[in-house]
Amino acid sequence: MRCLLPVTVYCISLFSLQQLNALPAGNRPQRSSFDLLLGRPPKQLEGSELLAQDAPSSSSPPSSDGGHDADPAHPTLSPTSLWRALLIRGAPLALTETDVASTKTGGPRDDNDSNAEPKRRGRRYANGGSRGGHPAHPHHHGHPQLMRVGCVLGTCQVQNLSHRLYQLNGQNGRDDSSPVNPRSPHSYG
Amino acid sequence: MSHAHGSTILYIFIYCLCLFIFQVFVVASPETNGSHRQPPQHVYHEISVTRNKIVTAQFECYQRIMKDTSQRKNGPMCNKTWDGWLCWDDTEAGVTSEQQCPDYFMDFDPSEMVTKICTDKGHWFLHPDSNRTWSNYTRCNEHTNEGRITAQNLLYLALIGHGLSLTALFISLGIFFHFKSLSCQRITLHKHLFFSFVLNSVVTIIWFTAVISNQELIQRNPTSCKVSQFIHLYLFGCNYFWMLCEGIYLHTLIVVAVFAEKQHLMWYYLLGWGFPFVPATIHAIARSYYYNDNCWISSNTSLLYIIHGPICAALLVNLFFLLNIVRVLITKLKVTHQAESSLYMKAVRATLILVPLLGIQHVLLPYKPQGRVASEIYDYIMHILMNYQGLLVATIFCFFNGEVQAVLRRHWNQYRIQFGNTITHLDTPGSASYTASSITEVQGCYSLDNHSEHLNGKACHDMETTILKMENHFA
Repeated sequence: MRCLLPVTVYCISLFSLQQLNALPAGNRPQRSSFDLLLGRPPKQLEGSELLAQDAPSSSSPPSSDGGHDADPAHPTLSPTSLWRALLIRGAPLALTETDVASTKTGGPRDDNDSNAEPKRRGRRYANGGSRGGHPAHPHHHGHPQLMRVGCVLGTCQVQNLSHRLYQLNGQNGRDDSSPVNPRSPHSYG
Repeated sequence: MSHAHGSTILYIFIYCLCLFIFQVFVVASPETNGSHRQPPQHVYHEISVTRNKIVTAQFECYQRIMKDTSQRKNGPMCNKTWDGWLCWDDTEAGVTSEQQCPDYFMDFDPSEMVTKICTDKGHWFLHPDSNRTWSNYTRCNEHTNEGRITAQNLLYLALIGHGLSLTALFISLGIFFHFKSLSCQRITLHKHLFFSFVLNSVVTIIWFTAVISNQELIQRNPTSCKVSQFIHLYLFGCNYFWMLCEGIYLHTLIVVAVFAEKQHLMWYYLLGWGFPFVPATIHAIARSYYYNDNCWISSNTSLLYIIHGPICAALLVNLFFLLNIVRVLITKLKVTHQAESSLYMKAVRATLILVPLLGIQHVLLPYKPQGRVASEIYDYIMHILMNYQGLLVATIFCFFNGEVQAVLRRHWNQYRIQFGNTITHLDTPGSASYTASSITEVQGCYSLDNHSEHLNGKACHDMETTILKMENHFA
């Protein structure tokens, strides 16, 4: 019994150390390192995802986006015209819930609560992220490659496995394989 | 009496917890059924998901490039660029930029990395053969199939392990609850540990089968899904903190307070069922503010250390306890002048028995290695250790437990005497001796708990017998 208390205190102090690592980082000026520490929320760019999804499917000419899969030699065929076309379609952001449902073409990663938290989404959007679908971890100079986001401890394996299964399941519906062999010198880049 | 009162409250609490869990999961499942009924609404032509995703990424990338306000550093830099699949940030010359593979294609593994080299002169790497900029996507589809198979195998391993564990744990709990003669503090703690194992297994199985495999549910991202993740993490923590409780109890019993009064179990209940609420709650709050992904399913965030940090701390404390217990055991056994070999055999046996109970295996293999093969082997080992721990603990501490075996034998023999007398009289002498031995063994449990009352005076001699007794009681 006598040792129970110190142990608890020890655990709590260790635990609060963990907290110190996570929380005060929010006050740091460089958001990037904070984002790197936490990883990036995959939902950051939901709004633009919706927006972009709507645009090419409704009216933009197939040539502007069809270029990627068909012609890897010119992956950025008409970038400016594309984003302009997409930007002009700012309206779909204000879609109602049912419209959102109807716009969806079954992409596993879009979600319905995009209207629920417009404020938060906006903030994240401003913070910037490289892509909506996946948390991306661009290499920052200040952080050596050792900085691995995610949990590497032995006990985390359940969470890691469930995330991995979710990722692999989530790929259903995608094209079977890439149009270009990544080994080819003419691959993307 | 406070002990009895406390445990009543505890059982009520556990009961409520169970009810709550089942409500959450039951609430979650009808919603999924509801979503199935929704007719598919394909208003526009089929545009493949892959193309959608690529175009979206491209749009976002150009938006970022347009918004570029960061002041340029001195020296050569590679500019932000869109390479056709991914967006690349400004990169200093001589640095290799890294990103996770996109999930555009079935044969791309999202956990692998893409690299793009920024040369010393500040230009993106040109492939020597084609003389065009080139990002290294080769790792994306190199081992995807193996990775898929591994993940599936691990899932099956986990499900089978938890299923077997559940069976063994339920039988053990049945034995512990049915035979009142077994009840003592140690068994009470075992009951709680087993129960936390059961809850953890149930929730994990539900999580894997009902949530992870249900993409639709995850996309809709209902609150119940996050609540179930919260419960999952809470019970996960409970399990490990009950291992800590077992460690504290044994350590206190053997090392610290052989002569102290009976331990107050209330503290153990608080630590085992109460404390894990704290990290689980803080994780939930932090997650909702900083990394609010669907169902909180992602493991790509360091926020998970809020849960796993305290767990690892608990396991480290347990490791210390284990070492200390073995040390004391060896010291005490040496006093009895036993043969060296049998002494160390006993120590090793006690250690091996205690490792799964205290969860030490997680501390012995703390970090995941980097290499592909190494990490795969590590995955298999960890999953076997983790998912079959319940089975192992139930086997060692219930089925192989001397007291339990004795009680079972006694009851079996009584049963045979009652109903078998008319059939055969052959085995009765044997059963009588069994009964005699089992009674002494069962009393051992009580003497272990109560030795404080009658040990005070006669210190040293009884201490040794206590340790020896303890050694028997591990198994």
